[in-house]
Amino acid sequence: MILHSYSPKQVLDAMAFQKAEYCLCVAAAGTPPAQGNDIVLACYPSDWVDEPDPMAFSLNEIQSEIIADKKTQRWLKFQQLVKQWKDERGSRSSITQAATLQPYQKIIGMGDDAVPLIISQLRSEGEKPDQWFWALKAITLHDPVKPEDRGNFRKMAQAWILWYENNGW
Amino acid sequence: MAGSWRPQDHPYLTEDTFNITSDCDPIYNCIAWAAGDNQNWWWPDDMEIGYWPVGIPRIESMDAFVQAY
Repeated sequence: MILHSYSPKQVLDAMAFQKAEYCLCVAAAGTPPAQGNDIVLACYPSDWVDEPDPMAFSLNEIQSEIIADKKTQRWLKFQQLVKQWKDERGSRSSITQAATLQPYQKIIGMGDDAVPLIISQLRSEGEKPDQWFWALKAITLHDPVKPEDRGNFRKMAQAWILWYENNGW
Repeated sequence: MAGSWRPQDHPYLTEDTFNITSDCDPIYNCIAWAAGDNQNWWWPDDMEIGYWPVGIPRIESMDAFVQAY
């Protein structure tokens, strides 16, 4: 087994590249990657060559298994759905259409577990927050956004982040 | 991503048929821009996420859009 540390982005890139190939293993016990911690990636090359860097393998040759803790698995699932949603949404203007796409609905379907992940996503998006408000509203049944701030995504993001900090989840 | 749209969504555009006038910005949409607003995302969704002028039905219909303008 080869252990290396990779940033969450590197891991996601590897996952996206491999697509249907099962690979990737993450061991990040107790380290929520949403907070920017590196993920320990362990890859098992099929021919068990002593390769110094598993990412240097032809990814099809890599066989591995997920040994992630549940928190990391949820984060990886969420990030995959985020990417799928953004790809499928394209340049749609309709909030309703965007929110009813399957990946977005799957995020809502993650329920309470999705809330801290969405808040983390909002934080990471900074001054260009995406449309996570529908999901937050649907899951939490709350709406901390002032009526006059509807449509102003920056103010809406601030309201939700503040709500989360004050109320937790 | 170039402009406020994705090039793959407009495959027939070529370099000599358009100009990029601004970077992509997820803060506002085409409807808002047409109304001179680049700070809000306009949409009459019934979850009340988007901005929509007060008094105009939050319905995705041509009539509602005409009234909004």
